[in-house]
Amino acid sequence: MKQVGIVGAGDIGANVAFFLAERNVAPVVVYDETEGLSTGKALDIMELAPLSGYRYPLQGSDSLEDVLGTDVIVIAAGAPRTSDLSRRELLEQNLPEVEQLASSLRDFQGVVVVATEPVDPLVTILARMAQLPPNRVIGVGCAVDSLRLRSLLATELDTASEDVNALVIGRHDADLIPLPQYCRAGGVPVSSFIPESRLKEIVDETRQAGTDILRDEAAGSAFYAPATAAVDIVEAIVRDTGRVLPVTTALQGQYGLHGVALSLPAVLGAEGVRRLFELQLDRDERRRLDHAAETVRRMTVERKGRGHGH
Amino acid sequence: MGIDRRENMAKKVAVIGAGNVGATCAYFVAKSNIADVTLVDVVEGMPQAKADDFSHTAPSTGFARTVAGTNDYAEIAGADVVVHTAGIPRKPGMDRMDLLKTNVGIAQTAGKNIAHYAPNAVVIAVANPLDIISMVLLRETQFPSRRVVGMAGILDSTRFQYFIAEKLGVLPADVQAMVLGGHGDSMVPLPSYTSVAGVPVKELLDKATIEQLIERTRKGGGEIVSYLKTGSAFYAPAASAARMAEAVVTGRKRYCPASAYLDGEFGYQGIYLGVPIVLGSGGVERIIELPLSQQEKADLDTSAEHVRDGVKTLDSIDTSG
Repeated sequence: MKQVGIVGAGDIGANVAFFLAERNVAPVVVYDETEGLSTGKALDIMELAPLSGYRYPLQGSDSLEDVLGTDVIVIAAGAPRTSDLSRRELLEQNLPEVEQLASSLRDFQGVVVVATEPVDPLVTILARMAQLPPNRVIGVGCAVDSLRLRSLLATELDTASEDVNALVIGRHDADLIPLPQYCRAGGVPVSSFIPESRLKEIVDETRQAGTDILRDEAAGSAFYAPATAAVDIVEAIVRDTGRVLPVTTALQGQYGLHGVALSLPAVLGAEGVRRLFELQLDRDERRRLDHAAETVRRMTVERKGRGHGH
Repeated sequence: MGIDRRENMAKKVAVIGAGNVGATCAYFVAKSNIADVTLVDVVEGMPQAKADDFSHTAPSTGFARTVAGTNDYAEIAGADVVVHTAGIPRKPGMDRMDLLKTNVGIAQTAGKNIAHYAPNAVVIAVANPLDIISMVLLRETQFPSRRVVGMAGILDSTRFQYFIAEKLGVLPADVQAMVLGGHGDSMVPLPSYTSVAGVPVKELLDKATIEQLIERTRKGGGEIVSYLKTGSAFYAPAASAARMAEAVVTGRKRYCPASAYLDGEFGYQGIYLGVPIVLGSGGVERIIELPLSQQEKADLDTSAEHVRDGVKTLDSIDTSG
């Protein structure tokens, strides 16, 4: 039986634990550096096990070691997005913790799923520093945006959202790249149902969704959708299903790009990413993908210049 | 066919308060796909943002109903169930009495709005102090008492069940338990009505261990706070409240412990107290007067006395708006 570890028991980490319990995916251990926090959250969730019929144990731990012994590790540590912090500033803030984790993960044999923001540069850096093969370091990335686009398209079409597919690739940020030709309802391209101008509005809404939720300070950063996307990925790995989701991994020559992590549709299984789909992109989409790669490269290279040596 | 199935069939659950308990309760109700959910909070933008965040998960979770956020009580119109979770938590240094006044005030406002906009709803009280807030909601709505019920016993029972399951290493869902009384230190867990797949717990655990688990259940909420330090439990409370809402929406006639208004049952008059009930579309459809041992009855008396004191305190501050 595979075990799942979670680093970080904040809103995203705790809800990853919660949804894993809700879906009966695997036994889970949650670690947080704040003493007691993960134990309290785990206990609160498990106290409803008799009501909800949870089948696997969920435990909190104050020791990172307990997480390192699991098969799939979700990294949900660090600060969430806030409205006054750019993703670049957030990277500065969350990088030290991820760098530290990277050194603990050097001998790790399982799959790492990164939910900490900003996902794309952190996956790039983590894969490099932990010296793990790219297929075993996966960022939640555009899986979140695809989830949102599917949900918005389903609302527009007034149809069950399970029947709607939507593909978003690139960077998990406002410059995400939606691929309308790969958005389908029951196999039919949504462009058959939704006029182009309206589709553009829905895409813009998807782009802004995370930021819109963020704008409301009392609600904090979005966490249900990111946690759900992380659990979709973990479930595919634990159950070795071959589910296809757009996730962030360090690219190895796809579209001529190397070493930077971006989201592309991936077949997920026990070994992490089984393979990536290299889709036909038009010139504009290609240009935007190159631009996204350049942005991530700049974010990670800047760090490299300053970050090395300590 | 000209018949809009949604217009005719859609049930609606309103959740007042979009904090952790309210939002998580909305999640559980949405997950069960039995009703549209309206999340109400006074903080502008917040219930809307939470509702959006939820709605985005629909393709994965299979939510087929709408989850809407609003700052306007008018949008609870037509709700079949209203779950009242709104209230402020106790902050360090805060006087218990001030806290009570604030939360009673919030419940009074909610009660008036429920009576006005959702006159046929069943009201489920979740905010603390539970047995008192239930009374406030009853008075403000002036609903028949069977339509105002408090969430306490399900939560206390699921905790007791989990602690027993953990101790015995069995599947948590295989443990059944019954916890009566007020929601707090004076709650009354009943080991005689507690079993594992039908086997009385007394045959599986010794008396001292059961006593210890009872004590842990009494302090269940406090244990979580001691770990979280700056927060309190919300997953299990939210799930418990949602379970009650489901029983009403589906008319499932679930047998569960809950805080019900007593009119002579168990020998108590005019207070809310945790007792076994049958919960269905009309709210509290029946109160089940279990035979209790002398000790259990004495413990329940003590619990009732606590609640009665609470009502006296309430009457001393109640300004009725």
